[in-house]
Amino acid sequence: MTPVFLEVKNISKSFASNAVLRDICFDIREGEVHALIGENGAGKSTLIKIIGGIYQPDSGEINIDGQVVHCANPIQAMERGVSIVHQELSLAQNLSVAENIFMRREIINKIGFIKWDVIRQRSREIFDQIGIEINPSDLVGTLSVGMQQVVEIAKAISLKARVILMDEPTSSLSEKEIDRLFTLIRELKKQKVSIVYVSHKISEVMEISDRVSVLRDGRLVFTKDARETSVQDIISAMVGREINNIYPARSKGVGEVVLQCKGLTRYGYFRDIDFEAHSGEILGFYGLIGAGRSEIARAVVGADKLTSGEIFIDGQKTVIKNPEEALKKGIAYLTEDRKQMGLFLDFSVAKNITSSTPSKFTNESGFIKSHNIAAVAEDVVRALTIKTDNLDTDVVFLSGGNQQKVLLGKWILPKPRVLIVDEPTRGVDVGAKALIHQKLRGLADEGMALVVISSEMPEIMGLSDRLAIFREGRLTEVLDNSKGQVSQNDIMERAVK
Amino acid sequence: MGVLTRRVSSQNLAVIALIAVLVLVMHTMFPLFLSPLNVESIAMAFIFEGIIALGMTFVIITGGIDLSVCSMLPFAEIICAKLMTQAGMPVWAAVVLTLLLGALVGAANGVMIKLLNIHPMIITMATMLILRGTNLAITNGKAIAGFSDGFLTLGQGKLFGINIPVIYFVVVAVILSLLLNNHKYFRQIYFIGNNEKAATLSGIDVVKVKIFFYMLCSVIAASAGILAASKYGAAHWVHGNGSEVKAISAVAIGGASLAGGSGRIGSTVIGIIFLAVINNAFVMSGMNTFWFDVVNGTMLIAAIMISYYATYRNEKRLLKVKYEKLLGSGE
Repeated sequence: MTPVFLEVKNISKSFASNAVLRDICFDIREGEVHALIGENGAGKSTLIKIIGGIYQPDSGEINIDGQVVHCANPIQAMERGVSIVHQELSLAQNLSVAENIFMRREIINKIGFIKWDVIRQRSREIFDQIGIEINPSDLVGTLSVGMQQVVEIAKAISLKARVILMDEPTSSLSEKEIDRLFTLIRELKKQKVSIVYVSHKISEVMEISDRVSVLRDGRLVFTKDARETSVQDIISAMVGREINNIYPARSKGVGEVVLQCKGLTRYGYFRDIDFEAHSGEILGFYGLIGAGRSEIARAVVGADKLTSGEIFIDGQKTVIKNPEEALKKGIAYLTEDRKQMGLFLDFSVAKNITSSTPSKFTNESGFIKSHNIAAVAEDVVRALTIKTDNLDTDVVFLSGGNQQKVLLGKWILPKPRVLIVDEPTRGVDVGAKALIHQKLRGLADEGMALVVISSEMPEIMGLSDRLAIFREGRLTEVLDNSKGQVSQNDIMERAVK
Repeated sequence: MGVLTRRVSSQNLAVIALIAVLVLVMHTMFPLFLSPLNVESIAMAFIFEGIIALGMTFVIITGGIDLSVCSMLPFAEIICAKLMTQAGMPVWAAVVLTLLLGALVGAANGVMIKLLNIHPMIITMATMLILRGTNLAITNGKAIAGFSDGFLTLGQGKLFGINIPVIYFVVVAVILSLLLNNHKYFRQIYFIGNNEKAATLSGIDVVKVKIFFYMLCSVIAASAGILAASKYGAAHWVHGNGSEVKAISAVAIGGASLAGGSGRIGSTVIGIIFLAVINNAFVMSGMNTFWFDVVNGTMLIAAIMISYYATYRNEKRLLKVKYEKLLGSGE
């Protein structure tokens, strides 16, 4: 068996009180391609950032060649042969390929001037070694994304990397570029360089890797030889969690179609999306990163532009230019990013709750009638059991769950007919979560049409009457879940293949 | 070597072409346009803004900006003048002390920007006000004159028939250009301006480097002030008014992105020549020179739009790849 180069022992990591990695044991052998697979938030990126020295683990250790090492930063990790190729490339666009490769390790003469000929020659040698033709004098900004990634890999090779950690390397590559990347990976393997390949695209992973490790909710489920596992096996490992039935009952009765979307397309983001939302029903949107769920929602309410497609409300064709118009027509979108885009953190609870309906709280001249605000906000705070000292407390001082309730209150106040909620319980404690679920079901029972976007599989299964599954900008299938009959494997199969 | 092989940007070519057309038109309409006397006046009209723009280039490449240069110029004038006329210092000592003081102000700018984590525009605006107030307070708003002949030569003298400030500008531009194009330490600012976080993770001491280049920018502005005092024969708080805008415009017209990460000394020189020629065209043709700032401002907007266009084109290319992938996955 090939020797182990790097070993991760019992690593745990939490951010705030949120455990992201728990007791991970994992090793990388010389010259292997080791895939790291998992759902959104399974802990893949955190793990490679710890190996690459960007984050420090809370406990556990990393061994390289059998020796315990502590990498306080990525530079120390690089010196020990560990390089990361990030999903978002970090090259300087206005500088040449050669200069980027030799950044911080420039070859200089006596007065500190860079010897351009030498670094160009060395870069050329690296490209010859990996069999890819790139002119070292070209500016990085003139290269395609795929070629820029090759430059990052060349940089890692020039650093004598023994393991290259690649985070979602194919996410912005074309088919042709993916083929070239795989050829390059095979070439690197021959040269005894190991690759850790983070991805959620199982077909790619099966094609390229020697071993596969699956993470779920911050734990390692298994590490297996790629030959001894199957797509089915991996999917089951990604999703195989216990589901406790703490969700509210299903729909009491599905009504008319309120919102219908036909052929929604946004250039570069999603294509040919058809779906309809019924009153009295919760429609779930599931997909992994890059599936385009939030992008679709944003385009429906006019926050982003559609390239083509039609939207019907109550069977009437309509055009929505911006979120304000969407709200007038009865569609509200509750963002996934409550801190950046949802709430005014330094404003009071009352002001936040009433901020979606300013015209209700002003007199004819546009001045605010504050006593009305207080009364209305009071009702919402009580209905949603928002825990706050008083109505004038700034939202920033509330817990995540209560902030989320404020956001929900803000968007149900204008009484929309269609409510799209994006990750409604992210970073929210269990109690608040259950209450938000009940409230969402309650709104559906009152006749609202709900679209719930969530990356959390139990949540989407527990809430949805129907389930739309997206993959890379396409809608794969809408499943009937009116009796809770959809399984985790059903969903994951449609989300990854 | 590296200087020769790297291409001149298309924006530089466009500005050079514009200058050429302007010169040609002016020359046909006013034959005196290219007379030695007028060329000298073109060169001298924007010489101090030009010198300031050289230092500004570095700060803009790091992704920052320095508005305080416009009061740094008269501040250096006044300090240098006081040291010579009131403290009786020899010229060289006054010059050195003034430059050191300039470095100190630049260091203060850099430290405050990093320490307080406030946008450089705000910090350097405050420094600008502080310096302007100091200038007024220590002179009661009056000019200081009475310099030695030796000092007056710096700004008014000629060498080989060329004004000394112009020679100074050219020498400084060549040295800084060589350094920026080739020196390891200077190249770091491109990485910082491109992606500060990535630069930090790659081991660049971003704080130190930024402070150094704010110092460099201030010192260069102070040197412009010393030459200005000599040229005008007096130090006065109103000198340098608006020079920061012209310097920033020159850098942007040269093609540097105000978001950082790009820019070159040669390009800045092209930008400043452009401003100088346009300004002179106004004077020559008898147009109301008050309109000059309108042209200056418009050019600044045009330059910024061009740099946005480059970003936009990049994004478009990325989207195209993604879209082709969407098409592929359907069939």
